[in-house]
Amino acid sequence: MKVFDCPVIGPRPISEFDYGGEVRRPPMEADAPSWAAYVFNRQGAPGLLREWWYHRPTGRWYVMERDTLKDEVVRFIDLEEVRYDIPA
Amino acid sequence: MTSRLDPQPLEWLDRSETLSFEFEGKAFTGFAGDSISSALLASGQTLLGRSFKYHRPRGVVTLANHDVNALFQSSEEPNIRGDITPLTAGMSLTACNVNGSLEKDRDQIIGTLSRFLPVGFYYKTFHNPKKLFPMWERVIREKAGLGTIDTRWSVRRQAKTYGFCDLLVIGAGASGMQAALSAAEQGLDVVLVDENPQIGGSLDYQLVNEANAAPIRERLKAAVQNHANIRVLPAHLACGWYTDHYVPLLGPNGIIKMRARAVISATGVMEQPAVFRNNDLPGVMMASAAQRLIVRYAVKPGQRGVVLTANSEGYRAALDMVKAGVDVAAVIDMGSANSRGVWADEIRQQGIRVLEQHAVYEAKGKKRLTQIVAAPFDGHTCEPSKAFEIDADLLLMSVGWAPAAQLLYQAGGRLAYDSTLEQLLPQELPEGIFACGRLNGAFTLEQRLADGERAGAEAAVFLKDEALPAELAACRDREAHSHPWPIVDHPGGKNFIDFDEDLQLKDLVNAAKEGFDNIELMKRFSTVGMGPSQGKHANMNGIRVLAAVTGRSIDQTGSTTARPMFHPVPVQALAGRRFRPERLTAMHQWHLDNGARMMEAGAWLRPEYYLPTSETGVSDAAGAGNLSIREQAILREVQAVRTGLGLIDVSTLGKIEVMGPDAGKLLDGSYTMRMSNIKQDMTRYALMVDESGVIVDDGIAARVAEDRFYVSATTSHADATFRTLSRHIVEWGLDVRLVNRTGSLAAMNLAGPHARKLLAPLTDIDLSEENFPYLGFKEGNLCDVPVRLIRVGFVGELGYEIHLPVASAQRVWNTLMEQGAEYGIRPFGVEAQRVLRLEKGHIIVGQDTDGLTNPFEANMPWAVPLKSKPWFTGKPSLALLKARCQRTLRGFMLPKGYSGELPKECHLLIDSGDIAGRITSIAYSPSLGRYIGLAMVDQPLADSDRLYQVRVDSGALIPLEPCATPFYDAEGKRQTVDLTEVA
Amino acid sequence: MIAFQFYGLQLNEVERACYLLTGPESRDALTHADLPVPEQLLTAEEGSGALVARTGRDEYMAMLKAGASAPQSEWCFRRYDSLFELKGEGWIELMAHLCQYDFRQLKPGDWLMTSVAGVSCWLYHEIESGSLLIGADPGYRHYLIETFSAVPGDLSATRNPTGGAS
Repeated sequence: MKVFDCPVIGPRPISEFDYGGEVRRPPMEADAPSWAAYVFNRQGAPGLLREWWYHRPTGRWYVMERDTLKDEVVRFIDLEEVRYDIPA
Repeated sequence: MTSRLDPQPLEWLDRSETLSFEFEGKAFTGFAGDSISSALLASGQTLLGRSFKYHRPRGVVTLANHDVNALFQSSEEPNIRGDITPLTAGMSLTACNVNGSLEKDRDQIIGTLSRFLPVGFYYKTFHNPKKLFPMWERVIREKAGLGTIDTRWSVRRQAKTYGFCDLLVIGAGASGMQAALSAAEQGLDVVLVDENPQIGGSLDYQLVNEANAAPIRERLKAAVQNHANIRVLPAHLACGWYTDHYVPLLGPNGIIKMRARAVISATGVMEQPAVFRNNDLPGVMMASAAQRLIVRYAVKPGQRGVVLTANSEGYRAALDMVKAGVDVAAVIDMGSANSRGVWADEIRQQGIRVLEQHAVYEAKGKKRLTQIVAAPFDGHTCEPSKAFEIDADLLLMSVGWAPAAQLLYQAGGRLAYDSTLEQLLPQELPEGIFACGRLNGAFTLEQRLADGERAGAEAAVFLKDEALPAELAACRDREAHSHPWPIVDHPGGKNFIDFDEDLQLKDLVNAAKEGFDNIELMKRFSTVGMGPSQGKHANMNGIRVLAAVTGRSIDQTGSTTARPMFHPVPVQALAGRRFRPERLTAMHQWHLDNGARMMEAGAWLRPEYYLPTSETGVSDAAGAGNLSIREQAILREVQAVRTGLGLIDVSTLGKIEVMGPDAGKLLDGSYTMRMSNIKQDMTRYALMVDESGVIVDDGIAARVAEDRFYVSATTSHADATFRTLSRHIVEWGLDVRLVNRTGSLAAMNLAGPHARKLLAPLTDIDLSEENFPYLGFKEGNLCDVPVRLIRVGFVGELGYEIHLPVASAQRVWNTLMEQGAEYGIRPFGVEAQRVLRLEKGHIIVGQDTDGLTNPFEANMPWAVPLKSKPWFTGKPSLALLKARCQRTLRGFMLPKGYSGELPKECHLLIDSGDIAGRITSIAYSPSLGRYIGLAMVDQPLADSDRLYQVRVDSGALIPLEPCATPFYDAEGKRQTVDLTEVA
Repeated sequence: MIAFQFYGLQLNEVERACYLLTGPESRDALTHADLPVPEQLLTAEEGSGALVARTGRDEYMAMLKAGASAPQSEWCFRRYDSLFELKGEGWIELMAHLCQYDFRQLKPGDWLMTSVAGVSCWLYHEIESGSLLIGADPGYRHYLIETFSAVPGDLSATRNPTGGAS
């Protein structure tokens, strides 16, 4: 069972987390094919993937950069880096 | 005649306790500490089983749980492994896989038919003529089983615990104990585990007669057991290696899920058989099996023995046989005896015959070995013309070893073939994984101790985060302990590679010749390594054969994937105690006390309907015909809500407080409708879709203050909705706080024409229509409890949803039930609520919608403000989907008085022979006196005015009459009923 | 009240007034109520008969004596957590059956939020008494009592009755 060694909460088993999917930013202006590609397609090649992980007991969100080939967390991403603005 | 020896120095027996047991109808005795097999052998019973396919007589071969020759059946359990299962008093056992008795197994005839059962025969024979195959299938299935299961078994669960350590050392032999000590001396918290009931491993059974080993053995055992940093766990099996050094340890009381930060595998090596004709006769066994018999169980393995060897430890075993009183007739060395060391010298000094460059060509005997046939051997083949016989009832095989590297493989380690040692050795190990001892090619006692010390030190350095390069080859031996080809061909065959599966040499050769010449294909076609031992005694020889046939090296041939569990683990240990959280509302006990039948809604328990025991009699909704008691109860509840008053516990709803300057912006972005312009003290329907436009949740959002909202979510999606909102706060950089109040607030819905009348005197909130209109939200006090009231319309009557602290909920519930008695108040459950909302045509997310339904299909275009709202999650998808709605939810009815076969949820609509939709909800409506429902209907059927046809269970097509929704109170007048009663 | 007793091991239900404070006014509200304000995230402090934990950037949980008055803040919410106190020899061994956390590492004064028997809980190792305080959503009260009570039966299979679990 995988362990995530997280900032603030320390090493925790994966069973304490909910997976939130890949970090992505929706295109605010996109034509129909581009929007459909955004919604339905994902990059599946092995590599570094930024992912959302929710720690249920504390309610904290983490963004991890994971090497999907070795299944190793390379680093934790500052939440500021994944922010984007939405229209009011 | 007994084969029991005098007490041995390291025996596992407690001779003060004699145990009686039965085997195959005969009475036997043994000692506490015996395994079943050792007790049988001590009494002279050498025939222990019949082989899987050919029903050949079988006895002890590895005695290490690397074979299943000795597989027994008791009244409670099937497939008991005799070699390693401790004897207990009163056991009554028979052999598995016999037809009649073990002695006179009627199925031994199959052995003589073996030429009709070549490798892969089930793919080739028995299917012509086709109509006979069902009979053959039955016969084969019956013959192919092993033990019998008692279907009246009772549930037994074992405990499971979590364990933690710095370093897990697997295997408490010489190198394992040394590694544990070295690491513990460095301050590490060490767990040392061994699958055997006692620690020591081959340091005991192989070196018991080595004088210089004794002080080392005593020192190591005492040291590991007394060290403050070492926890020793004998009788615990390391089942497998899982991510991040998670290793389940199976012990007698259940599984310990051990999390280590590093793992040392000191699991040793598994002795491999020599392959020659009739090498499976009882009396032919591994040298280490004979040593285990003597040392652990004080059992003399035979009277007159021969040792077949290709290494020095074969001579050590021969010396041990002599000491145990076995007449050693000869040592047959497959190579030269010159490099075999001091033990070979001693054998020769004792005048025992040593035959160099020889091998065993054939073993002879009926149910037990009586004679071996030896012949000169050039390293690959025998010369049968020069063969000769030696009488013996015992043959020890000491021709080689395979590493017990299964956990290393599972952890991602790689092994490579070392031609000096003629053994696969660890070549590349992942971080935190270490190997030592014979597994790592260290064979002499000095090498093993040094290798253990190295591994312990390396683990310590790794865990303390210091850098030191690993030097894997440090303590490896230079002498080969395995023969590269311990295989002798014979025209008569029956030279077995895999004893579990009855596979002979020619089976593998033929499989390769048929084109199954890749190790994975070879395994699956021939079944080598697929038996209960999973190739522990067979895979190495299988690889050697395949390499030879295909002309490839051992490394090129590769090996199949080793998967957990290392030995079989009973399901009762894996099941263990499971965590199945149950969540109850504040009124739970009241529900039980008042006849509620509870149902599961996720982790929650909710009343499905109420059936007070005092109630009898028929429902007055008699128009529905013959109904079950359950259905009558539900109808009564529905009627109460429509004509009087009903009270339902909706505490399971999600309840989220949203506060802060950006609260409105958060909700605007997360839900389809605009929330930021909800007026003070009003609510709005809150529909949530995902990025693809699919409905994921719905609820109500209420404005509490300028920067504060109160949002509800469905029971099953509450946690996910909270999670989504909290993520949006991070993603969009919003200044918002969320509090999940689902558990701390209870909620109940009081619905019915008399709702206002009942509540008004109990609350300080002004319930008049101007002050508190439909969809309004108010805070105040009810029965002196601070509450929030929401006027909701889900069930279609005047109704107030009351949200209040859990600590006060029961008291308020009781007051409402008491005060409401004069209005005929009834509690109602989930089922009644479903009927009520269906009569209003209201959807339930997850019931009338599925994983693909968007708001247009659910008849909710009004919830999708594409023009007036610049952006929300899923808006671009909905903009595209609006024009291509391919199916829609439609209402339908069955004729009044319908008494035919009832359509059910998910029954399909059929149009011109094609599937054209399905029913999502259907129920009897007492308010309309007929069955109504909702169906997801494909276009163009949905927009036409044709009748729908639904296919029911029997296959018949039933017509459904499409109709508009809501079915009941289309103008919503029930929400403003009873206006004049309140000032 | 006692939920179960097994030799020296005991699980009691305890009563506290629990509050969740969130928002920029939280710190002041706590200070005005004479309550401690832990500095570090996911740590807790005892003071004035209360336990206060910092659970977010400006979010705090305050467990006050039963009957104490609420801290004054607009965004202060009463919680009704189910509260238990686990004490006696062998509590670490018992928790090992229910929680994937190495409780040998939980020192007195430590605050922990993790999953116990599948339920999200907060835990605090009391400094004076050395007991383990456990809080969870009130809906799980019955389930947790039942689950905790089922474990000691398994403990007796693996250790002698006079205690001394390692």
